[in-house]
Amino acid sequence: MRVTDLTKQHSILRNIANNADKMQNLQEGMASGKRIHRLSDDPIGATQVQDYRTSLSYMDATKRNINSDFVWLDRYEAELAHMADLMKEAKSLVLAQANDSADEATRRLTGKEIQAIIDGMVNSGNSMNGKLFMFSGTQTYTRPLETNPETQTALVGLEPSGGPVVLDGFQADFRGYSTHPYILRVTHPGPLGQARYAVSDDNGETWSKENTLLTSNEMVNPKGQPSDKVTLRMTGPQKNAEGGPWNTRKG
Amino acid sequence: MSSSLFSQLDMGKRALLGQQSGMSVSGHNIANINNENYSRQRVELEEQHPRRDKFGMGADVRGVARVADQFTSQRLIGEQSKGGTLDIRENVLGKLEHVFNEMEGNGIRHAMNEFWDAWAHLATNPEGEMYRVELITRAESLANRLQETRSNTQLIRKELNARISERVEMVNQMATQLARQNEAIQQTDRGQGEANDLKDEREKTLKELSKLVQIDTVEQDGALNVSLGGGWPLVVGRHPNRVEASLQNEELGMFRLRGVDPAGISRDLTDILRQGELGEMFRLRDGILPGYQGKLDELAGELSYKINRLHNTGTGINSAHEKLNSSFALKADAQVKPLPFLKDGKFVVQMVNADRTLDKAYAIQITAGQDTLKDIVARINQTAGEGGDFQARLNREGSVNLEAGNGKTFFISQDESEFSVVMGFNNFFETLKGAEDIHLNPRLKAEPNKISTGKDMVPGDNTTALAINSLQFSPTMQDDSVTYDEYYNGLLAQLGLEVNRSQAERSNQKLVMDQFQKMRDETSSVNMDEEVADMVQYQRGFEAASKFISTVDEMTQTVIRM
Repeated sequence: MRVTDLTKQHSILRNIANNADKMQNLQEGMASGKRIHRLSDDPIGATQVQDYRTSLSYMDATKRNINSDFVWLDRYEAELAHMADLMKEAKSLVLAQANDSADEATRRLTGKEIQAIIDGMVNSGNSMNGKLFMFSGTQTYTRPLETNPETQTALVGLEPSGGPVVLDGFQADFRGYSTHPYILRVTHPGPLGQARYAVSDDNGETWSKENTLLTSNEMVNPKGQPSDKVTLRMTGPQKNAEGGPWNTRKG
Repeated sequence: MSSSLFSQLDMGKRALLGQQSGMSVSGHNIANINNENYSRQRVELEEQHPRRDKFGMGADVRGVARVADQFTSQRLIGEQSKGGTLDIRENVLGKLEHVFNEMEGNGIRHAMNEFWDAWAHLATNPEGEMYRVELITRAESLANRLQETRSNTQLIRKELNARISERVEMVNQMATQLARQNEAIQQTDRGQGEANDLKDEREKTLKELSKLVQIDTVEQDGALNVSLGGGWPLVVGRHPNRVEASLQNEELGMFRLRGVDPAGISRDLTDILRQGELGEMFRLRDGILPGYQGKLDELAGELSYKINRLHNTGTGINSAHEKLNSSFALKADAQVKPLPFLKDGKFVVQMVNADRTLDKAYAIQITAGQDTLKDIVARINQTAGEGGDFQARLNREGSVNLEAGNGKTFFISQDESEFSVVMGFNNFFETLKGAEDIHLNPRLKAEPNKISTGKDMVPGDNTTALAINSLQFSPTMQDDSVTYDEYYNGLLAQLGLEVNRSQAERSNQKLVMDQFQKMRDETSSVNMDEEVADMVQYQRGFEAASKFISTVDEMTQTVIRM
């Protein structure tokens, strides 16, 4: 073979260039500590790297979400613990009144305490985390428990003597705030619209004038003033077998 | 009869001349020892035959020959085309690899990760304003990244286009040069001069031209006729033809190659180019790069379509609309044709009272492939227009306006027909062409609360956000068979493998070309040792010849003194 000067020069240069190229890659790897710098270094490996990065990023996001959920869970736990405490307190108050050593005065006092507990429960039920109500499901901007007196339920009592009224298939409940018990006396039984009733707010000493019993009745005390916006609501079938909602029966 | 002393003197002179020209050729060779295109030359001596008697008359210089193997040269020239092809391919794919630079961790994939994570955060806290703002930022950066990547590939295409017109000019220059060299070689050959150096020059031009375009050559009367692929003549003897970068193309501003022959007949040569830089540039510009762009567009299109489909029928915080304008508009002739991309099914407009409670819902039944935009607008008004609750209006420029009346607001609660996606009511991403023009609905940027996270105006509902978030790992592309990530991975792997292959092919081709270069050098390149040895030989020859002349001179004097 005829070896010329150009041939020698070319082959030396080619080998040096090849080595320099490999050296460059190795040095790049040493400097960055990475094996893959470009897609072409390892196309499949490069896409795997992408998948690992996505997994990492997904896990970071999940961690962040779990952390913010912990804040919520802590708040729920605190509120529920508070509510449980209130329930226990109510139970012990009620139990304490379930014997003959308790009299009407202590029971009335207990009633007030129970009312305070109910208020506390309502407050807890309406507790918020930031601007959001905690106990309203997805309707986070809606107050779950209304403190509007119109819908606040408070049983205020029935006439103690003269025969209990049997509400045949009807449910009667009082709604509203009361500072003292109301007593209702049915003076003329009959269907809604005909039956008549009277109300006392001083434990049966004075009675209001008679009113017609309707589905919704605003309680008016003997002095003729509306009593703390307490209403009596009658719910149930319109008519029974005798043609009216009311039957009286001796107890 | 023996030869005369005078004719011997003449013979001595010719011997001197012969050795001297050998010396000068050696000098020429040595001077060109580092010239890659140079083919070494040799003095060809010829013995002078005796004329009348039996004594030879010494030697004469017949000529100076160029030592070259035509076939090796031709192969070397031919391999340049493939070399050019691979040079350009590796160069451009390398640039493209840089555009899809995911390894640095700030590419499309990174933006997608952050985008999906932002949806996950928002799904956890649908009422959180800052998570909405985060999502807006992430969505914008994803859209920007897609747009940027798309426009960077377009930049590469434009750069290729500019280089094409530059290369076309080079082809013309070389054609002119070749024609001139043909002419010079023909003249020199006829005038009995030596065209060796001219031939080297022509070979150099051919090599350069062959790098640009694959050529076929035929030698005729010392001139080379050069034709491009498909037999279009570029150089015929002494006449070059012109190629032009013509703008007659479907795509605005993109050149095509057009050849014009002296008769003025022009022909489009773009598709008949084979190997060579120019052909590869066209292939990259019109085939490979648009392929990647198409994939990006498909990714962006499917991304926005799948998200929009969920987003349009969701609600955010107090997000019912008084008025909603479609993002897209239809030209007048398209308004009366069946609206494309629809599906059969109903499209439900849910009215919302002033106190944000839900009012009536109006279902509009849509038949795909039949209903035109005008039909649908008319049907909406017919169904929901009663009592002035709701009105749809087709604007002059072809967009559709939906508007609630009676102090109410509305949202789209259900859309089997995908009418809202097609026309762009409450879309999340808006796009017509894909990655090229994908952007976040500007209305959402102005009012982040309008981003849909739930359904039916329930503020703490995160079902829509969750559904969108879960797209990340659901098969959504290619007929719901691969995820976005997988699809994009496919694109990356394809690009990486293509770069890899072009690198391997190029180094392979380099080896092949080196081999041919070696073969050519073996024959044609200058070897210093040989030249030095030749010089010694010629020097000795010259010395001997002068000694011969002086001896003949002495003999002549002897004769004169007789």
